[in-house]
Amino acid sequence: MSHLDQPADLLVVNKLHKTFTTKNGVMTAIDNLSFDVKAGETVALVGESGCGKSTVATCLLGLQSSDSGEIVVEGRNLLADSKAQGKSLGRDLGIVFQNPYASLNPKMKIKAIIAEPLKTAFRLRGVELQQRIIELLAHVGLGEEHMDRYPHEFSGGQRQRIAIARALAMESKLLILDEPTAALDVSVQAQVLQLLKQLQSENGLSYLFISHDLATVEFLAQRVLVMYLGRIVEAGTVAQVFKSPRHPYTRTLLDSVPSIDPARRDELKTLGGEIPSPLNRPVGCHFAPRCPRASDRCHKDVPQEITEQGHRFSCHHPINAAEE
Amino acid sequence: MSTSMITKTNTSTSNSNLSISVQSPAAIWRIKTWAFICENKLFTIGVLLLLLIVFAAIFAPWIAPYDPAKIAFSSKLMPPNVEHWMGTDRFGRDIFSRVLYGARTSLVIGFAVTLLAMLIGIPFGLISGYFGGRVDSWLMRISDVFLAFPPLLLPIAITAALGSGLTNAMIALAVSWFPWYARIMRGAVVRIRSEPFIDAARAMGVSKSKIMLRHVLPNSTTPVIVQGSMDFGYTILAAASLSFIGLGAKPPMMEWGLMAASSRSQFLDNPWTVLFPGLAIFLLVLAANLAGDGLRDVLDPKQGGH
Repeated sequence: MSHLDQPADLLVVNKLHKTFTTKNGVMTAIDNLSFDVKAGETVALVGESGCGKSTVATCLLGLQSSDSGEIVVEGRNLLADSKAQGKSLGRDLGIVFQNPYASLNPKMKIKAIIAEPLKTAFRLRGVELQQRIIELLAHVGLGEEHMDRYPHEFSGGQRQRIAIARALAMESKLLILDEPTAALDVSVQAQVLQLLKQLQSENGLSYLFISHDLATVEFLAQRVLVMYLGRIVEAGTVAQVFKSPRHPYTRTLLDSVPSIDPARRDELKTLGGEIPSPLNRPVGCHFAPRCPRASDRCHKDVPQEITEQGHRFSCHHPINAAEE
Repeated sequence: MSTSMITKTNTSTSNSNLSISVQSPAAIWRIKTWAFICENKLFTIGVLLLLLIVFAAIFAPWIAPYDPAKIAFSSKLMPPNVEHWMGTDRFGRDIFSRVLYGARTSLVIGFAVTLLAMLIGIPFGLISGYFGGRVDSWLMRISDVFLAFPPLLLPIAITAALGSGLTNAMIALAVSWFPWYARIMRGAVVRIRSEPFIDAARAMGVSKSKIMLRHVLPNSTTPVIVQGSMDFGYTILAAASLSFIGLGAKPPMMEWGLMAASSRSQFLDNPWTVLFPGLAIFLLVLAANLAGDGLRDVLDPKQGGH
C-alpha cells in the first residue's frame, strides 16, 4: 500500500516514435521518447527550436499519428483506444497554444469559443451552458461582459486567458502548454504564469509545459526534460537539472541565458554550430558534433542512460558536481 | 484625414478642451464614416453608381418617360433631343426608357450568375482544400476541365446545347464560372486549415463537418466574395455578349446586349441606338469593379476586419 503516498502517473509516454517521410529521406522527429507526468505536477519539456518539442504535443493530442509507442492517460492507452474507435485523442488532454492571436477563431465570439468544447464533450445547452461559460471566464479573470466580444478586441494576455479557459472547459486533468507565454510581453508573461500556477493549485491540474525559456520553466515546473534532436538527454527535478546539470548540452543551454547582472555580462556563452538536420542525424551521441567534451567514443556509440537519485542523463562524459 | 475632422468638430461643437471625451456616438460615427469615404473614394463612387443603377431599375416604371415597348414609326430613329434624351430606335421606341428597364435584366443576370457560381464553387473548394490528397486531386482535375476552355467558348457551347434563351445562358455562365471560385476557395481553405485554431478544434474532438462549417468556411469566404463582386460586372458583360450573338435574351425582352445587337445595322447612321445601351453596360461594369476593388480593401483581414 506504500504506493498510495506517491502521486499516481497521470500521463505515461512509453517509447513514442515519430518519423516523417520527406522527399529527402526519412526524418526522425521523436526517437523512442519515454517520460511520465504525475498528478498535480508540472513537467517542462525544453530544448532548441526543431528538437521535436511541439511534435510531442501534436502526437499527444492526436493531431498527428505516431509510428509506435504508447500514450497512457489515467491507465488508458489512448493510441489503442483511438484506433479502435476512430476518435481524436485530445478529449483527455487540454491544449494551450503558443500564439493566442492564431489559436482563437477570429470570426467567433468568446462565448462561442468557450461553448464549443462544452457542447462537444458534455453536450451542455441553454442556461447550463451559459453558466459554465461565465464560470470558466471567471476562473481566468475575465467577466461576463467579455462574452459577446470577438478575439480581436482583446490584448495578447487576455486572449491567452481565453485560450486557457477553453482548455479548462475540457475538464481534463492534464493541460499541454505549448510555449504559452512565448508570444507575449514580459509583463503579461508573468500574469499568465501566475494564473497558470493559481489554476494548478486550485484544481489540482498537471501541466506538460513545453518551452525554451528556462526562466519560466524554473518558475512553473517541478521536473525538467531536456530534449535534443528527438531524444531526452537529461531529466530530473528543476533543482537537479538547473543547479547541477550533468549533460554538456544542458550546461550550454543554461549558459546561453543572458543575465541582467552587469557583473556577469561577459559570461554569456553561445553554443557553436547548428542543431544537426533530423534527416541526417549523427551516429553515436547526437550532441557530439557540437560538444566541447566529445571524444571518439561519442561519435561512435549512443550513450546509455544513467540514473543517479532520479536524475537521468545520457552522456559518456557527464559533468561532475565537483567541476561546477 | 480623421484627425483633422476630429479637431474641426471640437471647435464647432463645444468650447471645452476636453470635448473629445464628451462627443456623442452619433458624432463619432459621422466622423468615422466621413474618414472612410475620404480614404475609399473609388469604392464610394462605385457603390453610389451601383445604388443609382439599382434605384433606376426598381423605379423604372415611374422614371421612364415612355412605354419602352410602344412602337411609333412616326418618330423612328430620332437623334437625342429634349423629348427623347437618348433618341429612338428603328421602331420609334424611346431608348432612355428601354435602357432603364434593361437595367433590371442585367442586374438580375449579374446577381443570379455570380451567386449560382459561388454556390457551386464554395462547397467544391471547401471540400477539396480541407480533405486534400486524392479528393483534392480529383476535384481540381474536374475544375481544370472547365478552365481548359477559352472564357466565352464554354458558355456558348453549353447554351447551344441546352437551347438558346436567357435562363440557359445564365446556367451556362454559372457552370463555366464556378471553377474560378472553387480554386480561390481551395487556396483560402488550405491556408486556414493549418491555423492553430483549427488544431485546437480538432484536439477538442469537434467533428469534421463542424470544423468545416464553423471554423474554415467563415474564415475563407472573403476572397471569393471579393472576386464575385468584381466578376459581377464581367458576368453582365458576358451575358450581354451571349445576347448579342443571339444565344441569350430574346426580343421583346429588354436587355442591353440585345439592344446593342439589334441596332448594330444602323450603327454608322444612327450611332445613339448602340451607344447608350453600350454606355449603360460600361457604367454598370465599372461600378461593379470599383465596388469590388474597394470591398477587397475593406474586407482584407490584415486591416483588422472590423
